[in-house]
Amino acid sequence: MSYAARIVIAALVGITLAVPAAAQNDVTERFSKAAHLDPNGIFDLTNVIGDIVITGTTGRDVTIEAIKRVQRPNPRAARALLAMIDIQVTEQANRVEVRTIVPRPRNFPGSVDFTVMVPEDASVIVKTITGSIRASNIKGELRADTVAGSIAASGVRKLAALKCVTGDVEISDAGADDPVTASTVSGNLVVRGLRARAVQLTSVSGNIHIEDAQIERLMVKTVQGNLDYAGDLTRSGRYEFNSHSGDIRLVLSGNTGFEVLANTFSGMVRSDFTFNRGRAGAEGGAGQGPRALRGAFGDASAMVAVRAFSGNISLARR
Amino acid sequence: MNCELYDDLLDDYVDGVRATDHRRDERFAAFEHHLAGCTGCQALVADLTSIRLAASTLDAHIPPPRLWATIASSIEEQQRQPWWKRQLGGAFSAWVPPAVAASIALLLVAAGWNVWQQGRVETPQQVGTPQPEAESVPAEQHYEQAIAGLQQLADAQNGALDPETRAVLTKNLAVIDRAINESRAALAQEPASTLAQESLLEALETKVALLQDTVALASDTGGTPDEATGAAKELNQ
Repeated sequence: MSYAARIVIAALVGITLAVPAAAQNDVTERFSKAAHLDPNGIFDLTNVIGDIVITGTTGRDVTIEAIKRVQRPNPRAARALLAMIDIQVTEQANRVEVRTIVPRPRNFPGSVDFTVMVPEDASVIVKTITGSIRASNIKGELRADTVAGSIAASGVRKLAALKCVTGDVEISDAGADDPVTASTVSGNLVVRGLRARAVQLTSVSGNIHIEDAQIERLMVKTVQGNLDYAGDLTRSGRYEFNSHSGDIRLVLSGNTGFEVLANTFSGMVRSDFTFNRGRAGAEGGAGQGPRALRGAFGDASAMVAVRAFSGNISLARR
Repeated sequence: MNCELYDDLLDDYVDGVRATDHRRDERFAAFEHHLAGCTGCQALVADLTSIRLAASTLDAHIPPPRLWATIASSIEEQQRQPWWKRQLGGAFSAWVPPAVAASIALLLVAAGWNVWQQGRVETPQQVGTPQPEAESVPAEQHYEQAIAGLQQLADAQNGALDPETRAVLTKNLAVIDRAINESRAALAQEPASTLAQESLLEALETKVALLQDTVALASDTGGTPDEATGAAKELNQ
């Protein structure tokens, strides 16, 4: 094939690919609905594709604003697909349920973005397959679940469960009386200003960062990611940090006494703290540095267990 | 020595609790005075302190969230239809096998977890002390059985997941497999290493949990064709 013929074929291929992309029609339709919730009611939203923003506010009304969106080259096809997106709102027994119904949830070429205001004392349950979830100022319980997307929760007073597969989870200025779980498979977990009795944070390959939290029982686990904890420990608190190959770094204020038990199979353990009793390097091989540390600091009221397989462990003073 | 006079103060003393009322505080002072000269009470306080520390270490373990999530979802299933089922119409038959398998896996994991916890009870007091390898073997077998069953289901339903999610799950399963292999290699090198045993069981447990999630996700997102789907397919073309 001649050089000129190859140029022509390449140009034709380029045009063929570029034209449909440039000719996509973005067809949208607004949806709006208001509902009533008595004190401590439940708002339950299940979406398929699209982002969700939920905010707690004063008053007893739930306001649901949504934008249905379909992108297709053919405007008529786009409009027909748009008509297939059904948003169902059901009010029953102090509970408002919203469901997005599409013909083929797994690969429907459309999305619905929700912006919802709920009474701040309402409990919120929100799920989507693809899309991010952002919840703020919720004083009731919050449960959020997305497969491909991130979750951000701020100003939530009864955090319960946040779960995603490919996205990040971010928690800020939140609290809970009951156990809290937050998990992601490949994303990072960032926690700032969480006050709770029992918290479990897990990721497989993501990093986990916890800052200025007040947690009585904390379990943090990742396989490949790094773990960072910075702040105070709670008196009589129990803390467990596990990572297989990631590094674990605890930066503690030292205001609360604690007993620590730290082990790594092939990494190193390092500490800035001077312990009352205990031993370091119990399992360390010659020239490999210490691999285990056990000691008590202050009144040893909190218990900290740290375990890594090949990662390093460090305890630093804030 | 009237050691029995202070029996009721022992728990609070070991816990570091000071009474708010003055009389009780005087008794604490009297007990501390008594303690200084009583070797029996000193030994008892030392024992109770070490027990308290050991017990508090055990308490740090919270059951994995997926355990509760699975139990909660089972209860919810009895009360109402799941959201995805309403969307997918006649997909109920597709849901039954993974749910049954997940329940079986859950039982296996629970059994494994139990055995593992028993193995961990003595951990805090035995830094650097070798543990018998035999304790972890049944737990490992439980996990392996659960993984084999779940893997089969996950493979069968793999097509139901979108390619990006599938790729992420596959990549992370490989990360866990690497952790399992590294832990096994470490155990081969140091068979008595408690840490290597714990790492292995932890990685196996993580793999079970991720496979359970994979099966559940595939069930949730994998629809069956219906009338509207057919129409959507036409319009997509």
